Amino acid sequence: MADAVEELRALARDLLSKGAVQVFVGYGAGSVANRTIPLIITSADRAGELVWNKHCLNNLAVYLTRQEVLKRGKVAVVLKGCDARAVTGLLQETQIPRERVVLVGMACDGMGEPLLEMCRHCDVHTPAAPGGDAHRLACDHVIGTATAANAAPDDEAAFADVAKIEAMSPAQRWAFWQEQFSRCVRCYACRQVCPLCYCKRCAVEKNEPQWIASSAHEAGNFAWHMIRAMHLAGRCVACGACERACPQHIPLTLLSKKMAKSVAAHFKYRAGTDPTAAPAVKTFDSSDDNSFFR
Amino acid sequence: MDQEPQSEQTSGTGVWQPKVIAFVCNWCTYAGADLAGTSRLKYDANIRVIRLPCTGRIDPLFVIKAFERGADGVLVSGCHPGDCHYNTGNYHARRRWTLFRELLEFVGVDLRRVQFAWVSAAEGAKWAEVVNAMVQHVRELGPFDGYHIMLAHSGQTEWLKTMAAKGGNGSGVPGTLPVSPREAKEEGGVTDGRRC
Amino acid sequence: MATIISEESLKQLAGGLLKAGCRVIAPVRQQDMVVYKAIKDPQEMAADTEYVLPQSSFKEFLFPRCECILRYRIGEDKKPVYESPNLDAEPPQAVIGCRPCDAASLPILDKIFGWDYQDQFYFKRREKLTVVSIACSRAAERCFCTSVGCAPDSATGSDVLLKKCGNGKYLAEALTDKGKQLVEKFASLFEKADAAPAAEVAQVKAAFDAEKIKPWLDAHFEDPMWLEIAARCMGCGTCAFGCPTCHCFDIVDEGDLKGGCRLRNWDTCGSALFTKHGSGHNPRSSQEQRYRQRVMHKYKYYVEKFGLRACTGCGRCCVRCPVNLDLCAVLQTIASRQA
Repeated sequence: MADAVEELRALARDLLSKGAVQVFVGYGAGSVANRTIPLIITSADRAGELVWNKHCLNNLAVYLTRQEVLKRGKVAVVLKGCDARAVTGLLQETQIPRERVVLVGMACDGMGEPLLEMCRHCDVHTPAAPGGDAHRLACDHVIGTATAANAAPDDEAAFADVAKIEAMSPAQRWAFWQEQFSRCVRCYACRQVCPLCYCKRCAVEKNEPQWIASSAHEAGNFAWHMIRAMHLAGRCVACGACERACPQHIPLTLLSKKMAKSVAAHFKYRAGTDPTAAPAVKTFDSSDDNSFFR
Repeated sequence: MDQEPQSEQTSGTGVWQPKVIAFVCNWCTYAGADLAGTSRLKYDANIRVIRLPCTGRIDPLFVIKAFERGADGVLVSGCHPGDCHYNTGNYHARRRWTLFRELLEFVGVDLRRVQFAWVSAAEGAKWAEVVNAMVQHVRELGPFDGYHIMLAHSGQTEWLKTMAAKGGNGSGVPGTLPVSPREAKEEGGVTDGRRC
Repeated sequence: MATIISEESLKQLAGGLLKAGCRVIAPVRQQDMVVYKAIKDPQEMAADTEYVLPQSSFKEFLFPRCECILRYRIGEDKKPVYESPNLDAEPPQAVIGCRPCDAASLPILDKIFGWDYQDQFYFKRREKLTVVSIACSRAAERCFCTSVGCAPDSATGSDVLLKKCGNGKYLAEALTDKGKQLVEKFASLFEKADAAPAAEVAQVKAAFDAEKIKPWLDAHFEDPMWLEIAARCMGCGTCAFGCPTCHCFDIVDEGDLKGGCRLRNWDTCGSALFTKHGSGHNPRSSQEQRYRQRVMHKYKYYVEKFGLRACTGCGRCCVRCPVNLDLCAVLQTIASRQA
């Protein structure tokens, strides 16, 4: 990782000093142990502040949806393989013009000390470089080498926690989720850190009428989490940013992974893999499951 | 049990009646329901029909809202695949519902409370059959207590007759509402500052 | 002459309060966190060694995250009937095991809730609240209480202050009439000692000179530093909702023609909607303006209005923030820029 960070800094220096980009979004040192911060720099002399280590957890793709960043010009963003999937989604949904962003992929052996659960079954250790398969998002630069190769996705491992919930009885599941949702304070950290929650006006902000109660009571929280899961179904790339951001430690990725599991099973689609693919929730097939209709 | 949160759904006989909301498309199912009416077919009256242009217009949020407003079951029905008045609305809906029902099941909702049908404008008899089957399922399942308790904790109680009858919140604890008697027995009442 | 109470006796005190019909709030383990919760059994209380600071403040027991302030329904004669919550029926509450930075938030909140009118929802609960704080014997990584006039053993806001003094015991000091009454009521649980044993109190080095903050803020409303610092802010409510002194709220009406309620919900100035006008104009339309507001409010406007900083240096915002936007670090930067 030490070589990678030097290469990264050199790249940032180069892009910024030549004016190829006006903003470089990467990771910087955090203020407490085992944290990093999203570092947003606009001049080459700050390139030395960039870091790359086992605590680079944030999904920086979210900054590609922020006016505070975009209004300054062309943006370069550091992306792990998992984060790059969110960029694929943004491109599929025509949220960012590809030519306005420079994607800096980082080869990654997993984050966290101890290793995050989701990193144990990662299938995107090394983001794709240019010139490869048109059905994979190519980063403009790929830095570093991962010791682990990109394996085929291991769905059983990836969805093991979802399966645990599915194995509960309906009453147990209801009690589990009621307890989880009751802790929600509606801070919307989950929404704010999500690269795919880019709506200028979220559904919960519509107040004529107030479709989803904004109050942090049980009914409001239930509606919020159900609708958010539905709005992300087929789009969420399970990067885990929402769950990490939640101050109440609600296991939000269980909901989005459940949806990903359903989308994969029914529509043979995985969000964030193929930038040329039509999103599953935007399309349909005449042979879609009809079994639950009378 | 007169201690249970009672809904207004007692139809004067004191026996609970299920409340099922049906979101139907204008061109097929609504017409089919109309045909059932003109054919004088009898079917359960526990259904309230909401007409929309197309099943593609039905947002999963409507299902949530229906439960929030006291529904015990929700029925969604529209044109058969291939027959959508807007060509493809019901195809998109079908995908959406495939996911939504699995999400509801994942959080512990009994899927017999959320059912789907394709009923064409010519299928008056089918409409009656679908409604009767749905209402019967919901009757067997009973009121959607889980949701009603959630609502009681959320200030959404005006349709709970006990609240209106007693006046005031009865519990004496400001800003909170009586927990369901079942819960009160188990937990000893309001235990934290979270409830509104 | 010193008063001592053991950990075990403290739990018995909590039990005694519960029996007397008091709502007892204490730090409790919840999954992988320790949070302030109303307990049913003193055994639920987390041991002092299990945590430095509960994950969120205890303000929700005075200022709930979602609170019904008015209920209406259409009565039998078709006339509206309004019901206000019966605040006088609110049970007494005691927080046992509060940290000094949380207790110190009370005088700060008292100012705003008693500013242009007495907020009954807050004060009816506040009057009945007894605060038994336990001084911190360890500091968390981001504590900066001593930089803002608070301390690991601060007495501000507490009725009784306990300090660890070894052997599973606390040195107890009743600071207010309420505190004295509590100690008297449970006198059998307290021991007397001739000499006060040494108290274990954390050492927290001041991170910045707080006197330098306001002068800089007074002169730097427009400063490129705001964008530099706040460009990464996500605009969520994580900091505000965990903060012991943040108090902004939103009033919403939920109901229909038959009845409903008016609710008061926590709100955050970090959200884009916070200052959005009905016209569509938003005076704080970008994130750095909103972040600036947060710092200005806590370290300039509140000082000007009430003579107090709206911050006790608990450090929760720094740690909870999804992007580690560290208020202490921001204040250090400001202090260093102020000559």
